[in-house]
Amino acid sequence: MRLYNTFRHIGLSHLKARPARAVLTTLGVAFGISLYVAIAIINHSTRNSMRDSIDAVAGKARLSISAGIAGFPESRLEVIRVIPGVKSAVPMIEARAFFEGATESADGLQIMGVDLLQEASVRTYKATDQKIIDDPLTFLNQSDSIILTQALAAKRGLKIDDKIRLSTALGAREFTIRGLLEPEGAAKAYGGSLAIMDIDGARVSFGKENKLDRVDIVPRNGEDLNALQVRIESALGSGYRVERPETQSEQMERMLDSYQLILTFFSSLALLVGLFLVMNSISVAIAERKREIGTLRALGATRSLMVALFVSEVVGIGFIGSALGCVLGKGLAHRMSSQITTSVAAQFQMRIEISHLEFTVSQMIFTLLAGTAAAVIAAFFPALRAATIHPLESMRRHSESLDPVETRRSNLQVLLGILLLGFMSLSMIFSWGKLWIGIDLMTKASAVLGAALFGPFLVLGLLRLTRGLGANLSFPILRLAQENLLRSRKRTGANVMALMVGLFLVMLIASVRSSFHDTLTQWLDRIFVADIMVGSNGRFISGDVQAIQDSILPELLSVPGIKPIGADRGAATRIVPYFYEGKKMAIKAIDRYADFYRFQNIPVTGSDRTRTALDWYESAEPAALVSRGFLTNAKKKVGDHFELDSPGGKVSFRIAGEIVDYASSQGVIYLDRKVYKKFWNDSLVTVFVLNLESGTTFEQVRTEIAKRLGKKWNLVTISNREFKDQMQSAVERSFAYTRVIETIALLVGLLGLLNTLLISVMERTREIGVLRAIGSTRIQISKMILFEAVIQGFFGACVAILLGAYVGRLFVEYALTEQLGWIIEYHFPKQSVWMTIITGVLVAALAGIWPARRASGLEITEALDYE
Amino acid sequence: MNKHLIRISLITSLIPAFSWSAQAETALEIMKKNEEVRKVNEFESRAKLTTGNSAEKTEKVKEFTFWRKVQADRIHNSTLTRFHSPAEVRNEGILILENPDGKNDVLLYLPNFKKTRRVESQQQSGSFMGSVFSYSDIATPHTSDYLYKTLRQEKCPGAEHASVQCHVIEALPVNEDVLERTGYSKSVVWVRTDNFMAVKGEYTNAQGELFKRLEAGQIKMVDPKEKKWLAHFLSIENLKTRDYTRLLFSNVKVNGGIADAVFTQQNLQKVR
Repeated sequence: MRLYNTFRHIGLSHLKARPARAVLTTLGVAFGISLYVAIAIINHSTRNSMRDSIDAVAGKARLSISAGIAGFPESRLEVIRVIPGVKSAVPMIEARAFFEGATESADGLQIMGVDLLQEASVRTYKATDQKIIDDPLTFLNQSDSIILTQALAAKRGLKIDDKIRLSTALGAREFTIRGLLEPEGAAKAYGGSLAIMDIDGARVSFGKENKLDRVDIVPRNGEDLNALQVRIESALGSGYRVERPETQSEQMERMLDSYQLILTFFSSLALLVGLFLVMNSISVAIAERKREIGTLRALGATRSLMVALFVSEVVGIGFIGSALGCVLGKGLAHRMSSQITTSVAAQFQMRIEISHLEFTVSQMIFTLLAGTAAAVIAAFFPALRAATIHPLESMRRHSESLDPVETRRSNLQVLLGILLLGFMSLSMIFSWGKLWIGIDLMTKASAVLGAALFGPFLVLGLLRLTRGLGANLSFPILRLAQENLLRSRKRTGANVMALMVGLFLVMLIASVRSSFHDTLTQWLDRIFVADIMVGSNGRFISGDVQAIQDSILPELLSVPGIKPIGADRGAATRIVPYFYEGKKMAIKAIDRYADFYRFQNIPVTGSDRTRTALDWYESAEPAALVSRGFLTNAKKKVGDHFELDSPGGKVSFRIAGEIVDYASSQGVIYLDRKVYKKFWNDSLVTVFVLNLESGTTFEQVRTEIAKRLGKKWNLVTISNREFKDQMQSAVERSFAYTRVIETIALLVGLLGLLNTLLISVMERTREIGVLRAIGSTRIQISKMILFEAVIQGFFGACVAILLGAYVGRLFVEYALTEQLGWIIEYHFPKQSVWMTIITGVLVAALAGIWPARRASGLEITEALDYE
Repeated sequence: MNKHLIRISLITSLIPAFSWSAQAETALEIMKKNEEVRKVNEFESRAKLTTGNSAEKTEKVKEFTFWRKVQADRIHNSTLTRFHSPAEVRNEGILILENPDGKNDVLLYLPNFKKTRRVESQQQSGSFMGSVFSYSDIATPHTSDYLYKTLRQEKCPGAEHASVQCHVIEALPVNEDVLERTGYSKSVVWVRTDNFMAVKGEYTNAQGELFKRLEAGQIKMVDPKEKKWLAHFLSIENLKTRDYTRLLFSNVKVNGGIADAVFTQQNLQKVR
């Protein structure tokens, strides 16, 4: 009751008297929470969608058998069917198809070629008119029959009996829509970007005659799954993966774990900036109300009551801010979801379509409580400090700079900041985060907290260093602003902290982005030396391209202006995903054309390129070049042997060397395409690389290829430059979502600075009154406040660049390798430096406008009377 | 093609077997007689299958030849259907071999792929090739699969049979397996008192909803010596979707000598 009365009469009246501060602090919490909520929603929905997709495709199957992208012989189905315990064994062909003209993965379609005469035993479908196929006899006998999901048909304005053209392994093909599915059962998979074909039609269209990609097993009732799995494995021999659907889910989720952790880290930073705002707001409020605190304490208010008073003022702000954050977060999740799935696809070659964004009531309640609690915790420490102030001390007026307690605190803060940054550095370098996830989280939190605590000290240092500069400039207002900032270190530190953390985040993200971008660009420049690339529809950059038969190579080489590469004139590459010990890796099967380029296109590292490449090509035993990711995950070294499952059984490869390749962070395996074809019996090609005869222009060749082969094969020809541009834009797209994080962090930083500037103007009312009384004009006061803001923005940005680049470097060189498997070189984000400074100054100037107006609007007499 | 099978099954499925009350024996007897009178030893015919929807007023027609022969056990049948038109389905064939264990082998030949495909047994309770008939309608139901009860006797439905009295018999699946295979939790059939041919059937699904109605017409004696009858026209409607399927037999030849080799996978794959 005592707290209630104190809050009602004192706390509430302060909130009412300072509505702008309350609103700004609430908005700060709201923005911070919104990003956290958005990322939480997307992470949760991504996992759910992935799980749903796997479950939907698995249907009633409890085991599924596969053997990699090349599939396995259809005849194995009869072996599987007679294994004791198998009730149903239902085959499937899986393929990707692309709508004609597609250049993006979004225009891709997952094809499930299923045995419609057996499907009922494993998967269910629901058609829009209760019949999936109007005429099954026609459907089954025509290889152009296809069933689309209702969602996809609606998106593309298609209906039953319409024709669509898709790129297939055999070139461009026309398909007839003979059924539409409602989003139930298997049709929910892949976010509806799914088409069902009968298995025979799919085989013919996608070059998989007499093959199967997968067999789903429904066991007999009461069958022991483990025992059945063992029976199947021993019946089929090596080269086959027998998995439960939940295992597939777990594997995919494990891959996502680290990525989502990084997303959460970024979003937590924005939340942290919001909490700094709360902390600052309360800290400054305490400074402002020091006399009041002293009076209350002198009147008998206990320390705990004082803590409770300040904390209670924040409860409402925290709750309303969190509620607003939930609403904003949901909107933000809609905006960011496609950007994040694009990024995931680029990182893991994993296509996830988020079917719906889910924000459950329990998640909302948790967010409200956690947001409020976080705001309360943020307010607790300054409140505790207020409670420890002695009444006598509270009543005394003294300069902050002379306060030994404040000085001690300030020194402690700097020391703590340095310790946290030190811990973070050591933890990243020595991978302590691997020991326990808690250490990993602490490491990341230390980076931000360390920067936030240590940063203001650096800003003050820079201010001191440039003190003389202001004096020399003969610009009295600038000098005055500089002196003001130096005189009130605590206030300056508080002002700078929120904005600086926002800018620090911008710089950290810029470091990661720039490192990815520059590493990939330089790598591409080094290895991609051919003039043109020819493939079918899809995204060249990710290898998500409709594979085509290599038999078209002679036709390609007959196009005037094309110069063959290599001894076999062939220059084809096949890129296929491959699961090695549960990790999704990539196999790149490359024709031998490296000699032509003096092996420049084989990115060997750590040994002589030519010798290693020749050893690889000419090895008597099957040999491979592998990336660092593979070596790390497989725990192998150059010279070791490893086995790959092929449709014909296990094949042992000698590791002839290490290469640098970014097709998969988990590992890339280079094989000679001859060797790959021999063991995998797969003659499909992802892309052809070719050169141009001198005197021939790229456009001439592109036109000629389109004329001769384009229509038949849906061929796409791109130049070396275009491919590199695609890579650049792919990196941009992969990081597109970080723009939102940066914007939110800056917005919260802006609100934080605006809030603290407003408070500092209020705190300095009397001082401003004196300045006005001794002749300063309103414009000069306004300029002074603006200068103060801009100086803080500028130096805050400088320190953010310094700390952001440092933490960014550690992040790129250690954390990314550790968590995502990427081995990339750190590249300082030069272009972001000016952008960060300009952003810092602009944001600070923007935040300073209102306080400056407010300061210049003060009446002298009122200001001098202000207590 | 399935349609032929369908009609047969329809007729048979209209019929169920066996009862447990005082009337039970009568009902079972009736159904046994029904099974007997329609059991033509060999039977070949041309057929026209029309599918459509009464709400959408659309129809599709398929034509095929139908062969059927009673197996050596004198209980189970072998059936072959070969489609002639439209062009998209020409030469497609379906072979149904009934087995004593109740699980039928259903093989579908797709000439465009030159492949024979097996229809999984779990699939056989579903719609048969898009028609209103299910696979279980096509396969011949046997009296031992049902518990029968005579509900009443009344004037036969339909103008063609108006002058004749019918037994109205309820059939319940004898076990869960039969229910799963047929998808019917209850059937009611109208069996003529004079020749024991079924003229109408109503089918209730597993959810207890009446969802299909079958009518048989043009019932003619096709084997006077053995006193075998055949409904030359069958019509079945899905009462929920308003889809219908009509099957009309013509050029019916009975006991003309069909070799057992006709009902083999090799023959199924022979395209004429």
